Amino acid sequence: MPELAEKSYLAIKAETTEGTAVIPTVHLPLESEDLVSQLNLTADRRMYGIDFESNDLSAGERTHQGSLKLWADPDTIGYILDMCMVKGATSGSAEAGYTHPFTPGNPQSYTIEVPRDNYAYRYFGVKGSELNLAFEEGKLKATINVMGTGHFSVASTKDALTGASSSTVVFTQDYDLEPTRGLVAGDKLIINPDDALEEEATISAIEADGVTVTLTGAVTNSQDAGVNVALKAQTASFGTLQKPLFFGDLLVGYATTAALAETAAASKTTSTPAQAVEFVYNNNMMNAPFSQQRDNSQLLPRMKQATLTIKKLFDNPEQHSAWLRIIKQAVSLITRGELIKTTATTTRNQVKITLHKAKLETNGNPLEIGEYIFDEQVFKAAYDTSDAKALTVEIVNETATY
Amino acid sequence: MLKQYINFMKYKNISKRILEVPGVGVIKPDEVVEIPKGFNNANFEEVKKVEPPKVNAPVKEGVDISNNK
Repeated sequence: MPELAEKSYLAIKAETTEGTAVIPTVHLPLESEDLVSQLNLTADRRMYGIDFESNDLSAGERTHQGSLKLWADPDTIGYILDMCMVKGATSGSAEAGYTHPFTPGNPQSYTIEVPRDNYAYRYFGVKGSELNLAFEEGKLKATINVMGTGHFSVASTKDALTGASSSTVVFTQDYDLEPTRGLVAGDKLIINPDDALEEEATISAIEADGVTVTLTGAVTNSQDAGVNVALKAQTASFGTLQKPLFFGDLLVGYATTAALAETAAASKTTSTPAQAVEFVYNNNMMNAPFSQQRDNSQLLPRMKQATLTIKKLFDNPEQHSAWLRIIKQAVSLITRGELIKTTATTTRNQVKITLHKAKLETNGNPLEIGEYIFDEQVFKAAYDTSDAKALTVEIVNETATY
Repeated sequence: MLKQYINFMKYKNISKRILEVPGVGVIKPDEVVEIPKGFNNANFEEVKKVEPPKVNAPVKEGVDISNNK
């Protein structure tokens, strides 16, 4: 049945064991998604006594990747950062707000689901490779390029099912030797979807053979072999959504050190007005095939890097000079949200990103008739050996745990 | 459609969060709500009806109960 994309959402949950799927419990509103499994199919070009290109397609090494775009409100951005970085110890309280620090590193993996109508597309072992934080329509939005180590959406039955008798389902191995990978006890399946014999079933156990699932009871309808069995989409349940973070509530601080930049970004009077800001963090995730499974099994970050793009009014040649001389600067972005609940009078929801050693890759001052002159800057985040870090990423919000 | 014509089931919010389910409403932790059967959400658990235990009538000694006419 045709269905609008608006009815979809993103469901996520951190995995206890990397690459082992769990049933997602956190539902987040989604702006767009284009996650896809690359099957890397190739034409079978073996000489076969025919003069056409091939008589078949053959599977290759699989990868699973794509982008997720969400509004980075003070709570949601915690999940976004947790998919891309390593979360440190949380401090604070419900009244004062919780502070969650994040550092570059190997992020924990997530299972995520994005439904198509009544059917879930589940990806597991998912980590963020690249994070883009930018303001669109005055709101902070995050686009994460994610990669996963596996996918389950639909499989096909190997054997016929007998109504009131069959309580196990065996899948074919057309897609994978272990087609049940990605399923979890408790998952709901739709057997023979969109057919008169469609019925739902719940998994009680995933058998060790990799092809069999045991259901909580016998199926009602008899089914031929070869029917589709889809993972049923969840009904969304959203926590209390925070308002988005607005561009107008962003403060940008420039200074010679990170501490001074954060001080500058702490108030309107000491911060510098910017017309456009975009932060990009990249894990450069290794996404190469390994043995043990047909999907890429090892998602590991390589060297981490970050860039910050800022457009601000030109005041004097200071930034031009900093670019020419490759001068170290520190830049801090503090996006402020509302006060933490009603009891807090001083603590705000906020997102702070500080580049400890920001070097200007480019600093253009283009001239256009009728326009003011701007510093159009691209900062490269370098590792600051004196601070022993390149970045500070920290959020304060009302979410106790991630 | 009237509620009595739909197969409603009771579900309990087993998460520790206040959750908003589109089409249902806001549900507090541990709150039980009636939702059409087929609801699928890992934050909720179906509340199954508990059948009252059968109570057998006490059998008096020396009374013949083989013929219950």
